[in-house]
Amino acid sequence: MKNLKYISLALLTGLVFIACEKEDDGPVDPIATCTDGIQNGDETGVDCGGSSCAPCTTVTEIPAIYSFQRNGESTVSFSGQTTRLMMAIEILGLLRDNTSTEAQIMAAYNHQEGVADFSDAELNASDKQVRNKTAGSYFFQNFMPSIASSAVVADFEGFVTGQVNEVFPAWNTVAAAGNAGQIADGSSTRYVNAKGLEYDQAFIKGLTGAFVADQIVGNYTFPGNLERFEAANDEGTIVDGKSYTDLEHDWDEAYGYFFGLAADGANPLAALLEGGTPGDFSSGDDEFLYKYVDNVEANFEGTAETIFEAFKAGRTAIINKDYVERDVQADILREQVAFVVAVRAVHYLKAGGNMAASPGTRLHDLSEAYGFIYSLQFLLEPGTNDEFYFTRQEVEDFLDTIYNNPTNGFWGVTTADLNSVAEAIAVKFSFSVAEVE
Amino acid sequence: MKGKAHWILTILSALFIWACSSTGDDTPITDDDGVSLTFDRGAMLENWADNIILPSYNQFLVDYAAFKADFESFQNDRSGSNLIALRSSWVDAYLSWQSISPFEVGPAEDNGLRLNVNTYPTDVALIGTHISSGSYNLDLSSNRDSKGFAALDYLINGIGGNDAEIVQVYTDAITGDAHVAYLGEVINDIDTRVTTVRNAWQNGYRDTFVQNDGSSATASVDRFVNDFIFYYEKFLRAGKMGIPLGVFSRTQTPTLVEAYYYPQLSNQLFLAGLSTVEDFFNGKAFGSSRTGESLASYLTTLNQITLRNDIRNQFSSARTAVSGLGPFRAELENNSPAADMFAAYDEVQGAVALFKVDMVSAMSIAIDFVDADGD
Repeated sequence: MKNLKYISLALLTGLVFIACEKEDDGPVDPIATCTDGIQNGDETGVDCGGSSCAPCTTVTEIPAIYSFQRNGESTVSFSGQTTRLMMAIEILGLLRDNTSTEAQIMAAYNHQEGVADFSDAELNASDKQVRNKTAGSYFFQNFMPSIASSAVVADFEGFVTGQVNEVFPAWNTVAAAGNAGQIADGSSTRYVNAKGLEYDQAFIKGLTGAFVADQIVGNYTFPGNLERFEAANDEGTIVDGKSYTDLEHDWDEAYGYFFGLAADGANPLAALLEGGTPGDFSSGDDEFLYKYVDNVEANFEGTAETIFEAFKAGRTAIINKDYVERDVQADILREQVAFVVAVRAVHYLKAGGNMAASPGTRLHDLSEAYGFIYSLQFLLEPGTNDEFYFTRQEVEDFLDTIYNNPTNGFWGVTTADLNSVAEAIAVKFSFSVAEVE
Repeated sequence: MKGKAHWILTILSALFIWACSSTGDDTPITDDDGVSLTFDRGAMLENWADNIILPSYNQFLVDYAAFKADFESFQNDRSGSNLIALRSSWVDAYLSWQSISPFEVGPAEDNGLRLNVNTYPTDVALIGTHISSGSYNLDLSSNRDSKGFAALDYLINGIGGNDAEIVQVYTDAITGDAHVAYLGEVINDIDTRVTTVRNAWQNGYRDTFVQNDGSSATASVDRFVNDFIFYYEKFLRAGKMGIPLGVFSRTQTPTLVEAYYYPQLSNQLFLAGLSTVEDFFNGKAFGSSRTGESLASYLTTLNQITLRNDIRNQFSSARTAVSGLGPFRAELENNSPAADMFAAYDEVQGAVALFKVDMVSAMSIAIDFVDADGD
């Protein structure tokens, strides 16, 4: 099927070439063709070279994998993102251990350099943390600081407090409508509050938006942030002691939030695209977008490749100092990141509405839905400066419908309620609720 | 003259065709040989419920009562010979469990019977905590790996290095009674759960099951065939062989075999499970050689004789391959990779595609289970 696509693409391209060559027979207007964005006349590149236009500068081609060099040395680095992703996973481990204290979990969330918050000594030594990157993007810090610091961080700290004070004390009791406790979900055991919510799921899936997606779309690919580093990039100014420009590094950091835990960081889709089936694709330890893009692939093949291509093309555009093209790729990333989050939200709403499934299975699906829905408020819309697919208010309304308003929360929510939210999410995108399995 | 004959022939042929096709109008769909292709799904459900499922539950409870009686004796006289008797009836009950484990529908599904009764490996440390604290709730799902047949395996076969040591544990002046009490609780837990499920079948679910004889995704046949294939794939193939072999994790792990502390039983448990699958497929009444409507006769009616025979032959190949193996635990501990066990696994695997692709497509049944997303 893929081959067929390429063949038809090649055929189409051939036809276009034939058409173009005929047009090129006529006289050429050099002033018009040097700015029309296509290679024509005797130009040796797009709008450059030949007898009329300015000489071409060497243009870097988009590589097959995420690998970029300067003077034979790699310029790619995203170790800080890998560190933060691993910290988030350790915090999740603490949330799932009923011997953790509230202070201990909060300290890990708000990690300070040198403090032994984690089991991994390298994480303890790091000056990075997750809390200051929760709604911590350039966008939130500059345009919505009060929401970021008071509302969003407070939500996540509330999940921690709830887990320790409501769920831990009920750890060894059977959960029921109105009672916190544990409940079977297949061979797994889930731990829920009195309304059926797993706070650890709300926390980790909520971070998919507030932490990972926000850092990608609101920070490291956000044009208003990146333009501050364009002049230095134009001059080729290298960051002290490093091999990259600031701007190159910013883009890599966005990439690191998506693919930072891939076994092969330069070629994270290898396992998926080279003969692997989506279900067998291993996203390693990741708990965020890299993990869930695999599930999205099952219904929407090509999503992972589109995202990977956009990361490579945007990084290449930065090397070529082509910031228009960079922002085109940033828009593709906004669209695709939002798509992954929205598809997963709808998937879990549908699963949670399957009344034939066991209560524990449904509560788990709904808890995941809660986190992905929470994440929707961090998805910037392509082609806008400050528009989101969903406002915080819209997200709160969704959560009211599925969780806050029904009697005993998830225990009382109806399939109709869940479907209404699924429809309201899908309508903003190019997919239908029925397409999501 | 010649022209006239042509006309007559044409008219006659037309009449002949009309006559032939009109005879087919009121008869059921037939194949080329005139054999009826309709199949009575209700009769198959009745055969399943009355001749296979319910008798299997009843026989399990009979076997289990014998095991309980041996426990009573052991409790009163904790001798080596009573331990041996207890072990012997535990083996019978565990084998008997394999003839009801696949039937995780209706009340069994609602009660999560399989995971409550046979989650392995068992958590030895958790069992120790329960015994020493004396405070535990066997209804908690987080306690499923401290009870069931796997916990009994540890308590009866693995809690000491030999029978004398095991008897020592239960006769210890300080902790012996607590151990016996826990053993008793675990034994009762299984009894209560299976009895609940059997009673639900007797008191209404049998009729619900048989009467839901349509062919929608929620009809009994469609759902049961899904559950049945799920059992074959996840619990027989993967649980008993594939997971300890490391087929999915790439790490061979002998501690994951069923009946780890009584390794000579693991293969028998697998073969008992395979027999249940085979007899169910063929519609063979429990404890008898009589057969009734079944997946096999359904395939026969659909003219899928080759597929039916392929499935039967695949069962037979799997049985032969597994029967030739040493105890799974020894195969895994002594060979890396355990090549013979892998080869046998391939024969077991061979039936999955036949069931999951060919058989369900012939019967127009949709597979509705997917792998859990792993979190």
